[in-house]
Amino acid sequence: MSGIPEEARENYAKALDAADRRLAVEVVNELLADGVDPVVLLLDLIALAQELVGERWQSGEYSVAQEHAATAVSEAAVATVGAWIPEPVEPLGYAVVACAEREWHALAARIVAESLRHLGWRTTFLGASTPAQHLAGYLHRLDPDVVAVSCSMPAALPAARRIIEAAAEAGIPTIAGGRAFGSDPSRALALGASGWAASPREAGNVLATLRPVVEPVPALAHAGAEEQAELLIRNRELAAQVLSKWLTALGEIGADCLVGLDAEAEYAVDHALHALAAALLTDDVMVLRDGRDWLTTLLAARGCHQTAVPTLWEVLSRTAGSQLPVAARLLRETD
Amino acid sequence: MFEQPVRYVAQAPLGQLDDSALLATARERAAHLAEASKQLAGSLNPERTLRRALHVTVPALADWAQLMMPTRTGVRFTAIRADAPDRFVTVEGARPVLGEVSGHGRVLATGRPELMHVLADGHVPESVAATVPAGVLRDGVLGLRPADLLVLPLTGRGTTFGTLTLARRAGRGFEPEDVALAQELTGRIAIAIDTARIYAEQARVAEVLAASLRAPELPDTPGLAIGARMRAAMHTAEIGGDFFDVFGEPGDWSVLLGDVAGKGAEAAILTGQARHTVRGAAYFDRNPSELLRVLNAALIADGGRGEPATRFLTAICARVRTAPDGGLSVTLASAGHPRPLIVRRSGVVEDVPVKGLLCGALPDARYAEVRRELAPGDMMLLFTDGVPDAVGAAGRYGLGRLSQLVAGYAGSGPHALVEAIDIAVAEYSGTGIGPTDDVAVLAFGGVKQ
Repeated sequence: MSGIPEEARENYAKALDAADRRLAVEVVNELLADGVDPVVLLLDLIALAQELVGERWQSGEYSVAQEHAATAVSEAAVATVGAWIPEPVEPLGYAVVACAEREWHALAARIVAESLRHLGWRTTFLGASTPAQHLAGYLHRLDPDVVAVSCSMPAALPAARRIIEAAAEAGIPTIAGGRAFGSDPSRALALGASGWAASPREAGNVLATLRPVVEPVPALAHAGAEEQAELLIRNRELAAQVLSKWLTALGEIGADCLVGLDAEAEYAVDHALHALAAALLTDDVMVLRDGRDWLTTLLAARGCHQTAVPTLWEVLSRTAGSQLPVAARLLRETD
Repeated sequence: MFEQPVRYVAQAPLGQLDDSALLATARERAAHLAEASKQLAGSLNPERTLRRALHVTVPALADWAQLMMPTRTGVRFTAIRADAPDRFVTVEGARPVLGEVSGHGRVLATGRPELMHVLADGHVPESVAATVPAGVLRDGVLGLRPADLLVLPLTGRGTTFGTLTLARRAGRGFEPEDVALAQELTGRIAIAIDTARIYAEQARVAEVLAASLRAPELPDTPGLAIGARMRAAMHTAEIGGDFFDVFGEPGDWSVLLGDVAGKGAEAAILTGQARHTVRGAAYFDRNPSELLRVLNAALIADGGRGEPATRFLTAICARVRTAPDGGLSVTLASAGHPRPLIVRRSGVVEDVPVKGLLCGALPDARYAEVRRELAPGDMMLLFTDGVPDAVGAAGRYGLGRLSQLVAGYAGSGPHALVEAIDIAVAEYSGTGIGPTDDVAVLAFGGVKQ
């Protein structure tokens, strides 16, 4: 890809693999000194390498600890690139970049903040998992021209909606981005965001089209939003039910592949319920489909039987779906 | 521009007025006022509130609107037109003379609205000239000729501090009920702007004070990798009773982590005092037991002044000597603080039995030191009781869960370790309301040099 020598790419991957901050920072510093564009470094080196880290965790090649260690190295690399980018003298505007509550993948948002800065925006990055109440306090004080909300996990989409509400209440437009918002604007707009960007590079253009003062977003009144609220209230109880029924069902068909994988099984149920909630809120079955594909890869890599995920969906239909008609329809439509 | 005929909100209907038309008008007014109030209350930022005030005015009540607000040196005019509602035009000006016969000085002095008219012929009456500054703003109004202008006082909490000027084009003047509606709306705008100004002033003071009490940026520590995370129960100010500090010199670092009894601003003030006391004491003797002894003595000496609830603190102090191979030699002393953990590279987790009296309780407390060696890849974890005491659906988070969690992060490095703990505790205690206690974690490990 553009401007990054293969050798640097390999060294960076090596640094992530060995959790070697010093090597990663060295690679980045050398490329910066060679005149490589900071945004190219952020997106085409660091973000790409980080995607591989995610895939390695998903495929079971990396432990959670290794994933965290690699991410911490990338954080240091992004900070190095950030220090290289000068503050814009006459900024195009001021953007606050936030992760919704429960969104712990702060790296992507930090990359957005640094990229926007390079594009000429003044930015403030609020860190991982920012509750809407916390954000509102910042907004009164900072009064940015826009709030950029980053979301990589469906579990954080309901909280992203809260961020959008809080910003709009203060009259501030929002731009949404990240994997959980999918590959077109529909989810972002369904949640009331003023705009959506496919990548930090595109964000600059989208920001230029936003209105300076927006009106409060109307409440989400569709049936799915009500069911999402119900799901949220009963999350704990449902999760326990789904987990025990799922394990029983797997045992009955002789596919008790999750024995000894308690954390993975709990994670899978949690992930599925959050994907369902996010699908309800955005009225978008794709969220659920993406969630299912993600789990399928994850469990297959841990030696699970191929019926594990379809069985989970069946259990979800029986439990959550029996009382929530929109959820039942979405679960049916996943296939 | 302005080709379409406009009907302003609650403009008196033409022709015969029956009861249903009057009722519909009244409803429309009430609805607009309610919506405007909601929007005006949404932000506590003065600039944002000002822009919103123009948006609830144009095009609902006028084709053009201008706000005049005092600044530190003069006044600032901000205006928008209905055909470009997102273009805020701003002009600085001199402060009007209070009590002048026409213009803003008159409205500021009387607190009463003024009506004026601009003819189609281009003649600009003196009263209009005094109200709308020459240049881009006046050109905006003259483009609406013949136009009617209404200047309204922004009065909040007993003072008229600014004005709102509305213009309607083509002789579509302001009927008495239009003026009444505009006055009602202006009253709400004034309160919203005044509230935002008060908030901004207080927030600025609070921010300056809070900045001095917040956790310091970690210094660059060659030979030692340090990760730290802090979450304050008092979310918005990001200050609380937990604190940490790192200082020293290459080869020989000091790490301090502590927890003041109590929460919020009162506790935060004591954390600042504690950090400075320890830093001061470190000029004379860097040994952890001695640093805690001085901290205790200083707290006791100062005991009469503090809030009774925030006169005690627990702290752990470590002196860390680095070796070129990435190993560490750590001397620890504790003042009633939760025991630190060592996370060996192998995944073995050990707690370090170091104890002592909390600071601020007894005048002549003495502290014992404990020494531990860390091999390359080992980490030491310091934390406040906000970690084990975090409350979730299954009760306290507890040391058992913490030990199990950190064992899984053996060898991952201090940054990854503290991030994992931060996430685990936040997820455990649930979302929305935020932690009920301050939470601080700090981990360190040696780096090969």
